[in-house]
Amino acid sequence: MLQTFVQIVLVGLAVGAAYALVALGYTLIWNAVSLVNFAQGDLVMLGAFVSVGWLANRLGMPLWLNLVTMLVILGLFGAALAWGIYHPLRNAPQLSAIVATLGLSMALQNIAVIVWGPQPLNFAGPLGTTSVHLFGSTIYAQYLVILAALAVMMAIQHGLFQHTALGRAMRATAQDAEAARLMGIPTARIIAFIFAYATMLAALAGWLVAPLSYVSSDMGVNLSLRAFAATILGGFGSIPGALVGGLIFGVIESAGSFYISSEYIDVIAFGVLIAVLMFRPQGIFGELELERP
Amino acid sequence: MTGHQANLPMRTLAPLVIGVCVLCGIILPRFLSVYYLQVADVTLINILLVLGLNFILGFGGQMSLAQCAFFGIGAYGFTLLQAAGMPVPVAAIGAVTLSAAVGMALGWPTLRLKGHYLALCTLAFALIVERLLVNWEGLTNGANGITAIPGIGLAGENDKMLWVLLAIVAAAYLLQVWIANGPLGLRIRGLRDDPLAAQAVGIDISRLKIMLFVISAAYGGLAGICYVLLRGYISPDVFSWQSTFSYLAMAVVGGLGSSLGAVLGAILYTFVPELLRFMQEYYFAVFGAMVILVITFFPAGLAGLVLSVFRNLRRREKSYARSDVTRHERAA
Repeated sequence: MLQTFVQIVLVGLAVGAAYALVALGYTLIWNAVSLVNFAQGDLVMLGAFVSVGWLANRLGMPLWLNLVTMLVILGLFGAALAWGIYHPLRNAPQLSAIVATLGLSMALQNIAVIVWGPQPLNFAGPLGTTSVHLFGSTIYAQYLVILAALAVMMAIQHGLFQHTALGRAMRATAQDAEAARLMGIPTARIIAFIFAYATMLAALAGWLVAPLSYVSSDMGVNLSLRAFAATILGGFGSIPGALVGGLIFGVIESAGSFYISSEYIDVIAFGVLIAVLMFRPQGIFGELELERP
Repeated sequence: MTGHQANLPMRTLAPLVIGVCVLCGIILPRFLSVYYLQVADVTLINILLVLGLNFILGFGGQMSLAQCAFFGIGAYGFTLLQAAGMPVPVAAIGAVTLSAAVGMALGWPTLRLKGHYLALCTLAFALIVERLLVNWEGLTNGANGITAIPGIGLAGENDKMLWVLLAIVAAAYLLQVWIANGPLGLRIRGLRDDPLAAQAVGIDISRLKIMLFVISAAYGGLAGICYVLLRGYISPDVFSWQSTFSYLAMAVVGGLGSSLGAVLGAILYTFVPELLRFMQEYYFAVFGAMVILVITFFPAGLAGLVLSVFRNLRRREKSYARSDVTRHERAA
């Protein structure tokens, strides 16, 4: 009884950690430029494909070099997105920009099929199918790797945002880009950097979940929907919200599919989400906007 | 960006729309192959869906992503009612009523939600409806769908269905323009542009929001019935939650808050991928890039483009009105 409970919570937290990584990308981009990037999930897919399809299968790179190279490639790609997609659209209405990211998502999925073929790829990851025993329960070690990766990323992010000049510039740009620019911060470059960082988070999520399933062109779709749900559950635009929202959503899914029904898992998880929003329309960490005339 | 149709009074617009529809009904079957005729029929159904979305999103400014769910509820509602032995008109009215009632049931508890929160809630609802269509096998026959639906006996007869659909779309279009240009339309746009001010002048915005849900759900349900009549079979994948983004893209590419935009967006979004098929595996990548380009260059959508071309033509005739028009355009 306790064992299954521990197992359910750990698996839920690990899956939720992947949601949280993608959700953080949404949040950072939203805070910086008020854009909901619906192609975030496809960056997950792209990260997994670059790592598995090119670096591992084609070049046979060792895993850690593979991870670093992939993150660099995807970081550059993210910066290119800031320049090629966001920049031309910065004055467009919000919904138009969202639809443009949908167009990007469609294009990326199609390009992935062209480049890497329609067959899903397998990826063993660093640990393969190794299992570990914890409190009498058995789970894949990869789940623990995901949790550890989230913890490490959060520590790095905290250090970056709070203790470096670059992080201060990023926070200033997110708070008020116009004022930041007047203070001499090169906001265009900072925004490109934020895009690069958000893309790397998504790509890392892809690299982490790839060993648990296949690498396929539509692997990002479900992940991005759940990550979006996580940002809303936590409170849109809140960084702790994205983190906690992702973890909670992961646990709701894992518990719901074990205790109630795995067939109706989406109905349960998203039903709970709607119910939470009924009572807390601004999410867990969100601030209620007061309206003034 | 809105109220372009206000330029044309109803007594001019109605004959114009009916004339265009009759012309399409006569011309299209002569020039289009059977396959493209079916694409034309699907385009008309998409127009219906996007017109419905336009009510709540374009005019009302409420971020609803549940249009595909109402599409599915209308289609399955009609099919099941007909299978239960009801005559077609009763089943149709029942399906539209069911869809509208579900719209009300979604609109009422989500009154407090705004922006992205409402977007996610309606998207979650769309996902839940899709999962129910797949998993509730006793009612919906699951992923296999339902085949051989009698409908009105025109399933697969694309040329005859074209007339049916043209008539329905023309009526739906005129109804939307009539509502949008009337006092109700003013209130709806008041809700979008400044909900607080709208409330302050005595508009019951809660009732208005629920009404927007009901009417856009009714349009979606009607589109679902049309789909059943056209195809004669349904399966849950037609009503998947991802498809809702296509309708969103049609509405935005066409131009939000414009009935003409809904038509243009649906035509572009349904026809162009077919025309790009010669690119084979590249065609969706190219189409995605096209969507980005259209939005980059015409943020107000195709309707904005078409109307500004017309205005430019008119401006050349009476150039003295120029400064006034441009200022209006900038404000929009």
